[in-house]
Amino acid sequence: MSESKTFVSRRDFLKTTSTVAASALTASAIPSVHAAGGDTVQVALVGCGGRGTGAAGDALATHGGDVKLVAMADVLQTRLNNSFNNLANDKSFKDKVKVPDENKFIGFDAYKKAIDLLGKGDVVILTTPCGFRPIMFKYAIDKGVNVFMEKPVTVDGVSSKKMLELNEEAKKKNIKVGVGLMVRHCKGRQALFDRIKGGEIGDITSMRAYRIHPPVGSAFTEPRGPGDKSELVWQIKRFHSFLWASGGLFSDFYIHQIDECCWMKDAWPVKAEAFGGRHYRGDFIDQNFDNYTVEYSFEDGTKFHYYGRHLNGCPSKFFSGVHGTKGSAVVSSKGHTPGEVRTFKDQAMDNKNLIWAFPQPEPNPYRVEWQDLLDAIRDNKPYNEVERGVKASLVTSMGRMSAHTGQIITYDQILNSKHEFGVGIDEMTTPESAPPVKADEKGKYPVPEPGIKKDREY
Amino acid sequence: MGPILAASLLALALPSPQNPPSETMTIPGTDLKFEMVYVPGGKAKLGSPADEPGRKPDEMAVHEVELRPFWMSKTEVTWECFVKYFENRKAVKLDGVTRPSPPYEPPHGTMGVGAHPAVGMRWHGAMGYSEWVSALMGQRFRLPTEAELEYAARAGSTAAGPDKADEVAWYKDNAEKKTHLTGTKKPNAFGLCDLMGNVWEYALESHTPPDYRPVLRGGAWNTPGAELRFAARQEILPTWYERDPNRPRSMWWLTDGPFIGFRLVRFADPAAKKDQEAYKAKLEVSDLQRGNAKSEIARISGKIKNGGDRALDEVELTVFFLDDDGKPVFEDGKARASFSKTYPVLVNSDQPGDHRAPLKPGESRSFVVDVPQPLEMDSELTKVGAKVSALQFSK
Repeated sequence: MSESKTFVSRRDFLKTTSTVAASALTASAIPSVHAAGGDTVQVALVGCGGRGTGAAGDALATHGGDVKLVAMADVLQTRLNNSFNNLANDKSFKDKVKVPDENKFIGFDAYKKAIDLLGKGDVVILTTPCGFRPIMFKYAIDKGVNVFMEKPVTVDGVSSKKMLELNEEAKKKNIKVGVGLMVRHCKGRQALFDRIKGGEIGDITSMRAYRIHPPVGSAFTEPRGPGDKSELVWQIKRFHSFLWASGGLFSDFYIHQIDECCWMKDAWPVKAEAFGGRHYRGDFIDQNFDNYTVEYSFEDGTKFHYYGRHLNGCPSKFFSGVHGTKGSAVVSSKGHTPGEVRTFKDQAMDNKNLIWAFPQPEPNPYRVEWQDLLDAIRDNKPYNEVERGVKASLVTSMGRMSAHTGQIITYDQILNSKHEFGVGIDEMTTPESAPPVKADEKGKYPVPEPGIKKDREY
Repeated sequence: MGPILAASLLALALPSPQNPPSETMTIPGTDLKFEMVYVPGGKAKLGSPADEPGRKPDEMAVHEVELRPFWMSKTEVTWECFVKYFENRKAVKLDGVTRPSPPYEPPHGTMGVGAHPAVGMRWHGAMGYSEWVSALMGQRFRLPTEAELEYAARAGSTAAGPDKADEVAWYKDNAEKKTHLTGTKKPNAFGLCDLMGNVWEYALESHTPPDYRPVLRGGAWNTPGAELRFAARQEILPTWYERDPNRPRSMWWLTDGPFIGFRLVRFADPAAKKDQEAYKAKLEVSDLQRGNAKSEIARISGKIKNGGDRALDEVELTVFFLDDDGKPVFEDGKARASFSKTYPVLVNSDQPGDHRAPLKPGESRSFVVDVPQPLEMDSELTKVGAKVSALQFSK
C-alpha cells in the first residue's frame, strides 16, 4: 500500500461523508455531529474473528439510519479476508460493506490505522482477545471515536483499574461505549428484573448457575506445531487458553451468567470462595482448569453458586436461576438466547407453579444491543456501559482467582491484586514480539497451583 | 446367513411389523447399540396430489418409484451415539472424517439426551456421523434419500399422513413440546419407528441441487397434526441459525433446531466390498472445474465415466480442494468441513435428473456440486479434486 494511495483514498472517503470528515479533522472543536438522525455511522472492525464478524453483521443489521463498514484490522490476513468475504457476500448488507483494500490493515498497529479512518459519531468494534482492550480503548478515546467492545473487558485487577480510569476520560468526552454483555439488552431478562424488583418472588435468598459442556473454542490446547511460527500470534489464535489474552475459559465463558445473576440481585458480590482443578490434562498445555465451582457472597450474606465443567462424557447443562422468599425464577433456561425467563410461586421451577413467562419468540439481544448503541449515537444521549462491564469482568476474575489460588478472594483483593497478566502488550509490534507468557523448554506454560501460588494465579 | 442372502430371501416375503428382519449393531469400542431394519424394495407411489390439504408448492406430484431394497435404522440416531462421534476427537483417528466442534450451548436445550434423538446438528454433522459409523463398522451407511425416507414412512400407505397419528408419532398434539425416547411409539408396517414426528430427519440430497440447502422429512414434536404428511418437504430456515453470534455461522450446529435429527440407511453388501473397492479405480473423474464462488461456497462441476464392465446403481463422489502439495483438504483452519459429496448415480433418488438411471459400462455423466471453501488456510486454495468414495453395483 503506497502513501499516496492511502492519501487519495482517505480524501475520497472524507468527501463522501462530509459531516463525519469534518469532525475527524477537528474532533475537539465540534461538540456533536449526530444531533440529527439519519447520518451515516461508519464502523471499523478491529479483531475479525467469528464474534467480531458477527458483531459487525449485527451493526449493519440495525435500522434507523445508514451504517457502513469502512475499515478492518487484524493480525492475521486470512482471518481478515474471511471476515470481509463473509460480510461482503451477505446480500442483506448490500452497499453497507465498503472496505477498499487500502482500508484493510494487518499488524499490531492495524487498530490505529482503522480508528484513524473514523470520526466522531463513528464506532470502532473492539473484538480482539480482551487483553488488548485497554490500549485500544485508550486510542479510540484519544481520537474521540465511539466504541463497541466485546466482553470480558478486563482480565485482572490491574487492567480493571486501568479501564475504569480510561473511562473517566471517555465519559468526559461523551463517547458512547457499548459492552457486549448482550443479556443486559434482553427484553425478557429486563422484564424479569422488574418483576423481581417488584417483589414477585420475594427477597432473593440464593442463586445458582451452570455451564457444563465438552471442551470448546480454544480452551484446551496442545503444544504449538511447526505451522504456527509466531508464538504470540498462536496465543492470540488460542486466546481461551491464555489468561493474559482472555482471562481463560472461566472469564470468557462464565461472565454472562455471573453478570445476569448479579443483575437480578442488583448488587456485586463482595467475596468468592472457589474450587477447581484439572482432571485430565493429558498433552494439553493451556492454563485452564476443566472444572470450577464458586460460592459468591453478597454484602447481605446471600450466596450465588456457579458451576462450570468441561469434560467429555458428562451431560451438558446451561442454566441460571434465582430463589426468593416467595418463589423462584429462571434467568437462563438453556442458553444466552432465548432466555425463556419465567417466575414460579414455589422453589420447584415446575410449570405447575408458573406465575409468568416471557412470551416467545423473543428479540435477539445481539441485535438489540447494537440498536440501543446506535440509537444513543444518533440521538447523542449519554451511553456508557464500561463501568458495568469492568465490574462484571472483575467479579468474574475474583471467582477465577479464588479457584486458581485456593484462597478466599474479596472484591478489594482482586481489584488491588498486583498480578498483571498482560505485561508488555503495549510493546507488541510484530509477530516476533514476546508474548506475556512463554513456554518452558518442554513447551509447557505456567498453570495455577492452588495453595502454592497464593497471591498470583500462575 | 449373510445379509445378502437374507435380503434376497426376505424380499420375497411381505413385510411384517411383528417380526421384521433386523440386525442389532454395536458401535465398536462402546456398548452402544442400534437396530437396522430391512426395508424391501419395490414400487410405490410417492408425492402428493395437487388438491391434498396442506400441500406446499415444493412437493412432488404423485409419481411411481421403484426402489432397491435397503436397511434403515429403526429409530432416529440417539444422543448417546451422536455424542460419541463429536466428543473425544482424538479417541478414534479416522482419515478424512471431519467432526463437529462440541456445541457451546446444549442443542437439546432442556430436553432429553441418552436414547432421545440427537438434535440441532447441521447437515454436515449428520453426514459426518454416517462416515464415522461407516469407517468404524467397515460397512457403508449413509443418510437416506428423500425417496427412501418417504417410501419407508409410507410403508405402503397412499394417504396424506399416518392413519392413527397418536399411535405412531410424537407431534404437537401429544409431545408436550419436547423430544421423546426413540422407539416408544408403535412401529409402522415396515417395522420402523418415529419416521413421522419426534424430529425432522435430514435427507441425503439437497432441497434443490446443486444448491447447498438440505431438505428434511417427516415432521417433529412441534409439527401440528394437519402438517404431519408423508410428502411434506422442509428446508432449513434462517431463523434456525441466525441467532448464532458468530460469522460465519457454525457449519455444525443450529442455534434453534432442537427438532432436527436424522437416521441412517445401509446397503448390506459386505460380500461385494472388495469388488467395490477395486472397481473405484475404474471410474474416471475428469473436467473438474471450479465455478464462481458465492460467499463460503464454491460450485464445482465435472464428469465421471464408468471405465469398467459393470453397471452401477450408486456412485458417491467426495469433492474437495487441494492444498499446495496436492493433498485434499477435508478440514480447514477453523476445524470446519470443507468438502462435499455428490451422487452422479443414485437410483434410489426420485429427484429430477439423470442420476436416477444406472451408469452403464462406458457411459459418462456430468455432475455439479457446491463445496464449502476452506477458511483460514495459509494460502488461497484454487485447485480442486474428487474421488469416488462409495459405489454400488447394479443387480
